[in-house]
Amino acid sequence: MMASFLQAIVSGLVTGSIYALMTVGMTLIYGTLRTLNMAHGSMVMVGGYVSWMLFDSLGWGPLAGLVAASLVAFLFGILIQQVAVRPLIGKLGVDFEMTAFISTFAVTIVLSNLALRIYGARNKAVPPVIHGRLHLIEGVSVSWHSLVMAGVAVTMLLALGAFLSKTRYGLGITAVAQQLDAARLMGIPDQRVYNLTMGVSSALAAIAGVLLASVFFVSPNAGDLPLLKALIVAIFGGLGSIRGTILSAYIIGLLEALISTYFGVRWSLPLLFVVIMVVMLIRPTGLLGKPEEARL
Amino acid sequence: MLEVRGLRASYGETPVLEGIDLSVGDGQFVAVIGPNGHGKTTLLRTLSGLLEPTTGEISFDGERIDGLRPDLISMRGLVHIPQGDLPFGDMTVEENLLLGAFPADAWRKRSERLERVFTLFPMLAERRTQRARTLSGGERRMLALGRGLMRDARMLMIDEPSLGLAPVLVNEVYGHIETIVASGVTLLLVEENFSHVQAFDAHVLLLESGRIVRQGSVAELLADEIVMTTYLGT
Amino acid sequence: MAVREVRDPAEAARTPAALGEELGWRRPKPIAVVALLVAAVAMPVVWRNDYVIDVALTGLIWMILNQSWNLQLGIGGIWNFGQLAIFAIGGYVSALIAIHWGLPPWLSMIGGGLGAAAMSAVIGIPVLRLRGIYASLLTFSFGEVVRLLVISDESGLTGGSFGLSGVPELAFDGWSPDARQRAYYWLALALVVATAVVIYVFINSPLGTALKALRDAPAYAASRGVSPLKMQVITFATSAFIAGIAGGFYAHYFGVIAPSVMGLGPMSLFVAMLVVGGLGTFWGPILGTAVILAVSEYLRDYDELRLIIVGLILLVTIVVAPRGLVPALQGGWRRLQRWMAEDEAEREEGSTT
Repeated sequence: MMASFLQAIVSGLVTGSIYALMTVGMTLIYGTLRTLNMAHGSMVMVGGYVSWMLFDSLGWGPLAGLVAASLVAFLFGILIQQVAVRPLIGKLGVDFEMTAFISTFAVTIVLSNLALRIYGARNKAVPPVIHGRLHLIEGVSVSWHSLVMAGVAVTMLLALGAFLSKTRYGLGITAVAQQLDAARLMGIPDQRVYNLTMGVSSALAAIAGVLLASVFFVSPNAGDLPLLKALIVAIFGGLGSIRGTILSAYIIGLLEALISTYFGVRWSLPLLFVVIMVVMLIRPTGLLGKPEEARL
Repeated sequence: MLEVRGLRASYGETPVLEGIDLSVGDGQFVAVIGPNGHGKTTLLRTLSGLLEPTTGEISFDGERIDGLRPDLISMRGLVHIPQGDLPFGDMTVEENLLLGAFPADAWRKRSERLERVFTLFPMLAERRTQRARTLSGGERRMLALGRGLMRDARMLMIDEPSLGLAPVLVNEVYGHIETIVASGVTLLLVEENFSHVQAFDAHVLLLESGRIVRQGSVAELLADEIVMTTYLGT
Repeated sequence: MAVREVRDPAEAARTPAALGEELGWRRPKPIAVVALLVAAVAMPVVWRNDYVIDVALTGLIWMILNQSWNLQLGIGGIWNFGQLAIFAIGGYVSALIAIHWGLPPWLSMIGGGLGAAAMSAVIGIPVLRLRGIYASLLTFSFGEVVRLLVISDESGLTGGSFGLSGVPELAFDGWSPDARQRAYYWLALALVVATAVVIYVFINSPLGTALKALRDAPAYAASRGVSPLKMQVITFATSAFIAGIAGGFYAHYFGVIAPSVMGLGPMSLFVAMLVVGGLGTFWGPILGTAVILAVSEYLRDYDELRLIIVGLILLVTIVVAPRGLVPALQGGWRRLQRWMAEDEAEREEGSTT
C-alpha cells in the first residue's frame, strides 16, 4: 500500500520533470511573443527523429542525440518564427494571438506529415541512456533512464533560469516580454530576441523528445501527446509564468501518477481534465498567470 | 549633435507633428516646453524610433537615423527616458538597471556603472532586490533615470520628469538632472511647466499644436512679454 | 431583396465604392444564390458519377459542421477548438439512441443534437469565462480527451478505436443504392441550406448584432446592457446543436462513427476550410469547404502529401490573407468596380473637354 503510493510519487516526480522541460518553452514563447506555439509538440518529435537517425546511421547513443537535436530544433524554432509568426506581427484587423495559433498549427500539420512522408508510419526505437533499474526500497524502483531524464530536465531548467536571470540576452528576453517599448529603448533588438526565444524553447522541447524517444517510440505523431500534455500544464500553470509552469508540471505529473495507480491509466487524462476545468472556474488564468491583454 | 529638419509624424490619420526643426549642439541643454497633447511625447518617440516619421530628416552625429529601428538608434547613444518610466515590473531594481547597460561595451563595465548609479541614487541601492512594480512613483522615476545613466549616453532625452510627482519629489528629480547637466551630458528635455527649467542655462523651444512657435534662451523668453502671457500663462 | 435606385448618378459617381455596392455587389447576390442552389440540386442528376456525388455529400456534411463552427469561432469570437468532439458526440449519441432504444433515426439525430448541446453547455461553463487563448487551449484539450477516451473505451459502448458500426439507416431502407445516395445528397443539401438560413437569421437578428458588438467592442457592448455570458451560452449551444445534427447525419449515412473523425488530421482539414474561406463571414465556411475539399480530392492518391499541401495552404492564407478568401474576393470586386467607375469618369471627362 505504502509502496505503491511511494512508487506513484517517484514516477510522478520523473513525469513532472519531463513535463516541465516540455512546457517551459511554450510558456516562454507565449510570454515573449504572445504566441501559443502549436508547433511545440512537433519539436519533441523532431528531437526524437534526430536521436533515432544518429543511432540508426552512426550507432551513436542518446547523449549525442541531445546535442544534435537541440541544435536542429534551435534552427527549426527560428524558421517557425520567421515563416509563421513574424509576418503576422502588427497586421491590422486580425487578432494576433488567434492568427499565430492557427499559423503554428499549420506548421504542425506540415511537419508531422512531412515526417510521415520521410520516415513512414513505422515506430522507431531508440535505446535508453542506461539500462536497468534502481531499487530504492522494497517495491519501489525507478529505471536508470528515468533518473537520467529527470536529471537532464532539472539541469536544463536550472540552466534556463541562470540564462534568463544572469546573461545579457537572457535578461533581454524577460525585458521584451514585460515592456516591449522600454526594451527597445534600451537597445535590445526585439527580432533577435524573438528568434532566440523560439530557438531556445524549441531546443528544450527537442531535448525532451530525445529523452522520451527511449521510453516510447519515435513516430510522426510522437508530438501529439506531448503537445496535449504541454497545453494542459500551460493552462494550469498560467501562460507566461515560468514558475507557475514548473509548479504545474510537477502537480500534474504527480496527479497523473496517483490517478493511474488508484484508478487505472485510462482515467488519468479525463480525471486530470476535470480537475483542470474546476481549477479554471476558480482561477481563469491558471495558478500563477496574470490577466493581461494582448500586446503585439 | 542632433539635427531635425521638417519632421512630421502622425498617429494613424491624425497628424501630431507638423514640421519640426530643431538642433541640439554637443553638451547643450535644450528644453521643449508645451501644453499636454501638443506633441512633446510624440516628438521624443519619433526621435528615438518608436514612431516612424511621415516625412522629415533626423541626423544624429551627422548620420541620418530616421526610419531606423529604436534599438539601433539607442545603440548609437541616443538614450530616451520615456514618459511613465516603463519599468520592467516583474524584474528587480538591479535587473532593471543592468538592462540599461545592454550594449556590449556598457555591459562589460556594468558593475562599476551600477555602483555609480547607486551612489547617485542611494535609495535604489536599498531596493536593489525589490521588484520594480512595488516601487513608489518617485522611486520609479529615479529608476528610469538610473537606467538611462547605466551606459555612455551621447545624448539623453527625458520625457516630463516632473509628471505625477509631489513638489518635493520634483525638486529632488531636478536636483539629479542638475547633476547630469553639470557632468556635461547633452540633454533634450520635454516639460509642460516652464518654471522647472527656468533655473538652467537652457535653450528653450515652445511647442504648440505640433509646431515650434517660439525659441530662445531662458533669459530671452523671460524677457518676452508676449511669450510669458500667451504661451506660458503667467 | 428590393432593388435600390441610385437617385443621383453624379453623387454615386463621386463615391464609386458605394456605386459598386449598389450595382455590382448587392444586386446579383440573390441571383447568384439561386443559380448556385439550382446547380447544387441538379448536380447528382446531371453528373451521374457515384464517386463525385459521394464526395459532394461528404462535403455537404462538412459544410454544416463548418458553418456551426464558424458561428462560434468567427462570429461569436469564442475560441472553440473542440468542435470536432462535439460533432462526434452528436454522432455517437444519435447512433446509440437509434441502436439501443430503437428510435427512428431522424428523431435520434435530434437527440444527438441535444446531447451535443448539453455537452457543450458543460464545457461552456468554464470556457466562456476564459480569455481567448485559454479557451482555445481548454477546448482543444477537451477534444483530445474525448478522442482518447473513446479510443481506450473497452466497455463495448462506443466500439473503441474501431468505432461504432451497424448504425441504422436514416430513412431509405430498401432503396436502390443510387436512389439512396441521391436522397441522402438532397437531404444533406437541405440541411446545409437550413443551417445557412438559421445562421443568416441569427446574425441579422438583434442577438447576432449584440454578439458581433461583444466580439468587436466588449466594453461598449457590456455598457449597453448586453450580457456576454448569456449571449455566448446561446451561441455555444446553438452551434453545438447544429454540429450534433451533422454528426448524427454522418453516423446514419455511413452506418459507422469512429474516433478517427476527431484528432489533428481531420482538424487540420476543417481549420483550413474555415480559415481559407474566411472566419466570421457568411459565405466563408461554404466556399472554404468546397475549395479545400476539391484540393484534397485532387491529391487523394498522394496520402501524406495531401495534408502537407493543405497545411501549406493554411499557412500561406493566414500569413497573406488572414481574413480568408471571401473578404479578399469582396475587396477585389469592390476595387474592380471602383477602378471601372473611375475609368468611366475619366472617359466622360475626356469627352467633355
